[in-house]
This record gives sequence, structure tokens and C-alpha cells, in this order.
Amino acid sequence: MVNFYSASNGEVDSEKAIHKAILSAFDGDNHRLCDLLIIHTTIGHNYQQLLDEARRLCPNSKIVGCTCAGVIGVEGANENMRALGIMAITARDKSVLQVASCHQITGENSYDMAREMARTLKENNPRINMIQILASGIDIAADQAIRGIGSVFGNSIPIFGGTSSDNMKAISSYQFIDTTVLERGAVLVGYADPDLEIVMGVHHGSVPVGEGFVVTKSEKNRVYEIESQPAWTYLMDQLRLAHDTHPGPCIPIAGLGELLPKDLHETYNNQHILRVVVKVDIDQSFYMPVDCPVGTRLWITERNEEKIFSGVSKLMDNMTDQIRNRDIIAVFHTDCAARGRAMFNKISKEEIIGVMQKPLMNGHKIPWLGMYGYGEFTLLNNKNYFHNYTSSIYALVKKSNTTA
Amino acid sequence: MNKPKPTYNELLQKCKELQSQVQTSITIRHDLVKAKNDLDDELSKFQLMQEYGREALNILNEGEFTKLTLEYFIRIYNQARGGIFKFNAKENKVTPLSVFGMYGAELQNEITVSDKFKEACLSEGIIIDAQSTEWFDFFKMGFYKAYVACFYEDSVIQGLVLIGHSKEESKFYPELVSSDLASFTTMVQSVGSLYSNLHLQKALKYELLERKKIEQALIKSEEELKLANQQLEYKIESRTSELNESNLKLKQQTSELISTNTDLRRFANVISHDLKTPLRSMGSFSGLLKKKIGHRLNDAERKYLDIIEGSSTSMYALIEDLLTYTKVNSEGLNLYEADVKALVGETLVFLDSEIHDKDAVIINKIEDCVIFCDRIKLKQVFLNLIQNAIKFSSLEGQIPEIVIANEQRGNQVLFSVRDNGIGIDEEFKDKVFVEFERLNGNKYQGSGMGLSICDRIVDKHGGKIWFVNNQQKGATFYFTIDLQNEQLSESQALTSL
Repeated sequence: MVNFYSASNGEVDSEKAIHKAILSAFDGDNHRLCDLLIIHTTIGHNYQQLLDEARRLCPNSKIVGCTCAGVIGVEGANENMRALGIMAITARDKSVLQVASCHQITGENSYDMAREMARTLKENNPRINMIQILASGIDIAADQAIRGIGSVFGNSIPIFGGTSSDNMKAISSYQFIDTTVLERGAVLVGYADPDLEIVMGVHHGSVPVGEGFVVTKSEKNRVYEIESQPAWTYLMDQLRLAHDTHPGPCIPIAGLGELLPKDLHETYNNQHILRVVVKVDIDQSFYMPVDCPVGTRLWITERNEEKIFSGVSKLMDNMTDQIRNRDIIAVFHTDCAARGRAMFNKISKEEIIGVMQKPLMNGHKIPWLGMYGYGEFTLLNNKNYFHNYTSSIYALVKKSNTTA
Repeated sequence: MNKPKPTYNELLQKCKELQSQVQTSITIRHDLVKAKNDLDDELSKFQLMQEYGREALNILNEGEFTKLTLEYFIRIYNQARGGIFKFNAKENKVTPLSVFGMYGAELQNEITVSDKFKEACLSEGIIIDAQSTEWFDFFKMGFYKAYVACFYEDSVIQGLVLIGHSKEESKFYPELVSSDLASFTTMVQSVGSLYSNLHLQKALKYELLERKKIEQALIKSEEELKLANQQLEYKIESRTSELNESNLKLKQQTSELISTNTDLRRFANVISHDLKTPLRSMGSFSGLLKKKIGHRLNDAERKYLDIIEGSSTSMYALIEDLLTYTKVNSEGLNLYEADVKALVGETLVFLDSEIHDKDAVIINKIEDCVIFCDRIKLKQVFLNLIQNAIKFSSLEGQIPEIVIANEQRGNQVLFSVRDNGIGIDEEFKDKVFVEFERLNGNKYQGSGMGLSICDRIVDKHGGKIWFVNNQQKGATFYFTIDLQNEQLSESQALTSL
């Protein structure tokens, strides 16, 4: 049996922040029993101080984490330059929590790197039944990473988590493994608790605008041309922005829609899945988070606030239906960085987080760790997909209640 | 008329226009959300400032205060690094009190700032950047851009707050904007007020501690005083008891003394009477014998009679003097105001025959003077001194010349009796006032008690008596008597009991 504890705060002193968070999560001095510590931090913290103090307080724990544009905890959302959220996990059987990591993951090697990490996990514990991924949000080809994991554990193994981000500048993002800080890394956490199941949901609420445009030249996830024009130049023209605009400021308004297979439309509550561009090359080619073959039709999308709220409500209804009377042990949550302050004002943001948390909390304080990242890994019809611009909620529930 | 159907191209054009409008609306909506969030951020800033104020009010430690202040500045302005510096405005020097986020920076213990800097940030906050060399020292600490403003305590510049980021950090951290300067300046000024409050609170706490210490010391002193009082009371009780016992003993002794004195006086009277009677008979009868049968006696026999007569006279005088001396010693003084001039006059009248017998010249220089004394006893002093002067100046046919004078010296009167007699040898100086000391053997008549009596009387009056040999001839006796002495009066009154 594994136990989860969470906390978040806006302390600006990094050492104090992690210290306070760990003590608050454990509500006392049991922090030395911690077996796995997952850290989400915004870009302003001193990561090394965070990790060193975490190691001091949790000497036997595996430590993983990544940067993000904001953290979401039971205490609410915080997108300041120094915000911190943690999920601390203890396990009676230490082997049920397995961690693997890699450095220098890129669009080119995402499949191999992910496969290698998955192998490590399986070697350590073949009973792993769900995998959490925290990967670089700028360089990874997420669909290839999913394939890589699936090649070891099978395509139906639930993969959840997200890609790291900075504060929407699309410059760098960081990952943590024990006391090491990586810039182009990825971390997998394998859970092998037979009593634990995951229920997840995803929704974005954007709609395509206009006729769309076709990718005319590409290589894997790198798009060179759209409608036979340099890809980024074309996109900027569509958005009435200068050709040399950095992708960072475009994130909130340049979500690209790609048509989904028909069988997913109802589950997804949308016909399109969204893609974000966070890296542009000097030749005006840009990188998608997934492979984008020639002929792919893309649409500029518009956020529809009403659709977003109603979609999240529907998502939560679906989740509570699936969970039924099972105990929720903890909740992980990955939201797109563009769905924070870039999309909502403070009140709307608090409201939509409330829409997500209330049905699951149901008056109780359930450990909750969320982040605003660049992308989300969520199952759709039992198949793993990488998403952008979504709210993805992952509830860990007790399996035993299912039969009861 | 029916409107003609639009052509495909017209529809395509319309569609593009609509898409363009939608694109514009996306950007506008994004800008609107940003504007709303900026307003929310402003509100959040002021809420945090209030929170800071509440928290900082309760801090008494300067280090904790500056640390907390800096953390709030970092949080409110979402910046990477900062410092609170003490500002020595006279010497244009700043020294760090607290720093934040200076990772890998070259920390300066003291930075000299230019007048330009001082002037620029004295009244309101400014933004400094690495473009200007004026702020060079701050950039050595890693600052690339920073807000800076001064804080004051009682209108005296105390320090400055610097918040910003390094060049490397500038890629993630928000741009510094002049629209933030007003709130930044306000917050820095509130630091001054809170800094002042901190000092005030510290002073108050110190004062309270001191008062508590004093209070405790007072309580301790009070307890000690109580104890001392108890001990004192015990001692007083004990001493009072002892004193009462002593008083009782004293009373008994006084009573016994009075009784003894009375017995002694009675004894002296009896003795003198019993002795004087036969002596008077001896003198009278030896005189009668000399008168009746003196012509029939030979020289030797007459000489024997003379010796009997002389001895009885001497004996008589001795008894008289002894009696006087005893009276002086045992009796108290009857103190009244007395006119000394009259008193001396009466003495001279009393000595008139003696003066004539010796052809003595008495120069009475006594001036009007009233003193508080026992008149009879003082008269005895003059009598003895003048008699002595006549006696010791009548040798070798010399005419005695006696000068009696007085002189007021402060609260006392100095009396003198001067003669032209034989004077007193230095070797007898210490024996002059001793009882029964007759310095000239039997050459002069007398009991040797006269000057002792004078000494006792003057002493009883609180005065002093002494003599000085004159430069040419004779001696001068001096004595002092207080003009008015109530204490003497009281003590003598007691003695007279």
C-alpha cells in the first residue's frame, strides 16, 4: 500500500520553501520515511537548494520533478516566479515505486530513450501497472516517447503526466532526478501497487477557426513548410504577427488543431486535438510535440471559455462516474501552461480549478499535485495520447473497492 | 428584387475577412485577459504589502526584519535578486544588511555611490540598468536591472532597497517597468516606518526589561529593607531594654551619688566646723596669751606663740579653701545673668584692706559686660586671682600693679588679671593648677588651693584658664567664659541635682 502527502507554497526562499512543504505534507516529522518525492517548481527557485534540502529531509527517498509555469495544489494555483508543490509518497513495499531517467532526450531519440527507461522500470519491477512521465517540454517528440514505453509495457499501460515548462517563455525547462538538475531530460515513475488504479480525463475546449492549412514539407516532428511557405512565416502571417516573433508569446494564441480519428470525437468531446509550438529554428521551421507528416491539415484554434468550463464539468462528471465509490488516494493534474493566467483572469482560474477539485475532494483534503506544463499525457479510449492546451486529471483510486 | 447569389470568390473573400476578424478578436481577448491579470496582480501586490506590514510589525530582530522585507519584495515584484542596504548619506556609502538570490555574485561589503545616484533615488524610486556606469558596483553584485528606492526614519535616510535581476535571469524574469515605481517607492517608504517601529519596539522592550529589572531590584530591596527593619527593630528593642536597664542603674547611681554628695557636704561642714572651732580657739587664745603675758616671755617663747598663732591661721585658711574646693566640686552652678563690671567692683571692695596694706595699684579695665554664670563662684575666681597677684607682686618693697581687663571674642569673654610680680618658672607650668601645689614653698602664705579652685570653677563654666609670663615682669592669668550658654545651663542644672 502506498500513501500520498501533498503541499504547496509560495515561499521565495528555496530552502525554506521545500522545508516548509515537506513538513507541511507530512504534518510532522515522518518525512524521513518518504520513498518518493515529486517536485514541481516554477522557474524562479534555486533548484539545487530545493533538491539538497529535500535530500536532507528525506534521506532515503527517490526524488524526481520538473519545472513548470505554475503549481496547483490543495492550496490553489500559484504562477509566481517562485511557487512550489510536492507529492510525497511512502510505500510499505519499496519495490512498488520505480524510477528511471534519461538525459539529452530530443525529437530524434525520444522513442529509444523512452524505451530504455521503460526497460529499466520493467527489469526492476515487471508488475508495474501505470507510468508517470515528466519530460522536457521543448525538445521531446511525445508520441514517440509513448511508443517507446508501449513497446515495453504494451500500448494499454496507462501513461500520465506532462512535459516540463518555463514561465511560457519557451526558452528552457528543467527536470530533476535525485539531486541532479537536467535541462533535456525525462523521468519515468513506475507504480506497481496492485491495489492502485488510475482514472483519468482530458479536455481542452478550443475550436478551429477558418479553413485550415496543410503541412507541405516535414520530417518527423519538424515542420518546414505549410502551404509551400516557410512554416513559421506562414503561421505568423495567419496570426498577424511579425515573422521574428518568438514562440513563447504565441503559445496562448497559436494552438494548432489536428483532426482526430472519428472514434475519439465523442470521448474527447472535440474533433480536434491541439498542438503547441515551443521551438522555432532559424530556417523558420518549427517543432511539433508529435510527428507531423506531410499532408497533415492544421487549424488555428480559438479558445471558447464556455466550452472550456462546460467541458471540464463534463470531464469531472465522467471521472466521478468512473470512480464511483472507490477511495481516491491522490490526484495528479497536468494543465497546459496557456490555461493559467494566460487564458484566465484570477477569478476564472480559481473557478475552473474549483470545478476540478470539488467533485474529487468531496469535502475531504485529498493530496493533489498539479502543474502548468507544455503538454499532457492522457489516455483516450484506452490509448495513450499526448495533448496540448488541455486540463488532464489523474485520480489514483483504491482498486479493492471495485469488487466491493 | 432578389439579391444576386454571391460568387465563390466573393464568398471566399468574405470568409477570409471573417477569419481575419476572428484572429484579431483572439489577440484582443488575449490582451484583455492580460490587462485583467495585470490589474489582479496590482491588487495582489497591495494585499501582499498589507500582509507584509502586519507581519513586519511583530518582528523585533533587525536581521529577521530585513530578511522578511526582502522576501516580500522578491515575491511582490517577482524578481530574482535583491538587497537591503544601509545608506551612509554623508559618506555616500552603502553596506548590505540583507541580500537575496545573489548566487555566484561578487558580494561587496561596502559600495561607494555617486552624488548622481544619491540625488536620483533620494526622493523617489528609480530603475537602474547596466547601461550606465554609475551603478557599476551594483552590477558587480549581479544586478543587470533593478528598482531602487531609499527609506527614511524620522526624515533621516537610513537605507535603500534594490530589487532586480541579472542579465542571465532577465530571460525569465518580468521586465522592470516604470509603472511599478510608484508602488515600489510606497513600499520602500513603508519599510522606513516599519524600521522605525522596529527600533521603537526594541527600545520599548529594552525599557520594559530595564523596568522589570528595576522592579525586581526594588522588590528585593524592599524585602531586604523589611528584613533590616525587623533586625533593627529587634536591635532597638534589645538596646532599649539595655538602655532602660542602664538608665535605671544610672538613676540608682545618681541617687546614690546625690546621697553621697549630701553626706560629703554635711561631712565637710561638720569637719570644717569641728576643726575650725578649736583652731579659732587656738588662735584666739594664743593671741590673748601674747597680749597678756607677752612682755614676760623671752624671745623664743614669743616666737613659739607666733608659730602657734600663724599655724592656726594657716590651718584655718586651708580648711576654708578645702571647703570651697569641695563645694565647687560637689555643687552645681547657679547660673544667672551677671554684670561682670559690678562683680569685679564688689571683689575689689572685699579686698580693699589687703590692697591698702600692700599699697597695691589696681587698674580696673573691666568694661560693661553681662554673662551667664554662677556669680558667687566667678567672684571667687577674681578674688583668688587678684589676691595671688597682690601676694606675688609685693616682694622687695615693690608696689604691686594689677591690671584687670576683659575682651569679647566671638561668643566668649576673655578675662585677664595681670601683675608685675615674680612670674612663674617654666618648670612649674604644669603644676600651677594642681591642688596643694605651692610653687614657692613657705615663702608665701597660702594653701596651694587657690588656682585649683579657679580651674575647677572656670572648667565648670565650660571655659579655659591659663597663664602667660609677661615679657618684662610678672604673669598674666587668662580665662574665658561663654557669654550665653543654655546647654551649660541645662547640664549644670542636671549636675546640681
